[in-house]
Amino acid sequence: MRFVIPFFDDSSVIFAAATQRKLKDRGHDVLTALMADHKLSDRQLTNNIPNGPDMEIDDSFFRSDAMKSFDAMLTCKAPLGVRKQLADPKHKAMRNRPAYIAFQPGLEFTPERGRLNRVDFDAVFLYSADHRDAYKEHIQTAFSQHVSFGHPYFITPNGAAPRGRNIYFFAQAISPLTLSSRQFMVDVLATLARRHPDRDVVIKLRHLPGENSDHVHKEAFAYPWIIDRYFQDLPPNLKLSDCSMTEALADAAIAITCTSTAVMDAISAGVPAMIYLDYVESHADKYAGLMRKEFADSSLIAPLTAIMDLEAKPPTPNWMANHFRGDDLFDEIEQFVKRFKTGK
Amino acid sequence: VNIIKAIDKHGGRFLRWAANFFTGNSFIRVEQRVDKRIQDMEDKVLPALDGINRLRDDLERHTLEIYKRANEK
Repeated sequence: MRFVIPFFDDSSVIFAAATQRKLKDRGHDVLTALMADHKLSDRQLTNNIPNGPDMEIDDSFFRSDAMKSFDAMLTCKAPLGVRKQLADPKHKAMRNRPAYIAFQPGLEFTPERGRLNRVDFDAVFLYSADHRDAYKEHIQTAFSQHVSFGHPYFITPNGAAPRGRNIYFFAQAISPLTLSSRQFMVDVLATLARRHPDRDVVIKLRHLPGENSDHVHKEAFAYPWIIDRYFQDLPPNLKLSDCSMTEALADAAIAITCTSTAVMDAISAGVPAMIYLDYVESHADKYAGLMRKEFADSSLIAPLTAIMDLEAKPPTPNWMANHFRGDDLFDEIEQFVKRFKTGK
Repeated sequence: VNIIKAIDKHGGRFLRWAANFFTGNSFIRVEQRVDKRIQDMEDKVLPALDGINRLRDDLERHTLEIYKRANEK
């Protein structure tokens, strides 16, 4: 089969790179397409797609005949150009057009708008079985939309042990929210580094200053800025990194985060994951509350004492079944595209 | 005269109740009373919740401080 994956920001480039890899492994022809109005720096682009995108496109691409050469278009976001195209009944009824399949960028705490943006897609995959059920309950379409759950990199781990030996903290732009809570997190990580001098504690930055300036989640207090301004005597094994997610997970023995989707990548890669939500002023951070709810029965939420001793627990089987799928996800995608193209 | 006054009084009350009931006024009043009570309860609970959050933050800072001291060179 032939797939195209358009991307334009840091969530969609990660999605494009990971999904292309997975589908290519299954023998498909998969092209990544960088959109003209993208917000990516060269570093973000080469970090995720070292050889560069296969194509550069603008909105007119979705209306062009070139689209007919693909069996399906996959996206984790719903670009305006695609939504406009799908809202056009003439295009929707056109023969030989590709199937439009939408996923979600990652964990989605406020999914209402995203649901509405996906109503015209031929297939929608929500990131958990609960979200799939909520989508089915709230959204009615005039056509038979394929609604399922799964995410190309929320894949059940294969049981392999983590390859790395370092401790990674996956930062997120807006959570922790306040300066005090972010200073507290640096303090926690510095203490962790002193407690485990034989390992590196790496703060994996989501982006560098100046990047993601148009992203919906703007970072008010970047960790490098906080460290420069408020911390002098930090242990040498506390480090900052702007490496790719793949590189980070290959080097990690433990993944710690507050509210980042990286926890799902870590679980999928077989890296023990811990979610820390008790940081100071977390009561002022709505994402901490939403994360607590989403992961309530996962056993991944850890108190400070467990973080300090790196006592990670495995996720509970029920929670895993609700959020992760095996390769049957890709079987389902292939079967859907086949059905769509043959009209059966 | 007393009997007529009593009929006027009770009939008037009934008519006023019926008018309020059928125009929905009585429900609006009940709703306003419930809102007021919820607001009163929130006014009492929120300062207590702030206090609990401050205590929780202090406890977390204190726990971290113990680990910091234990791991000082």
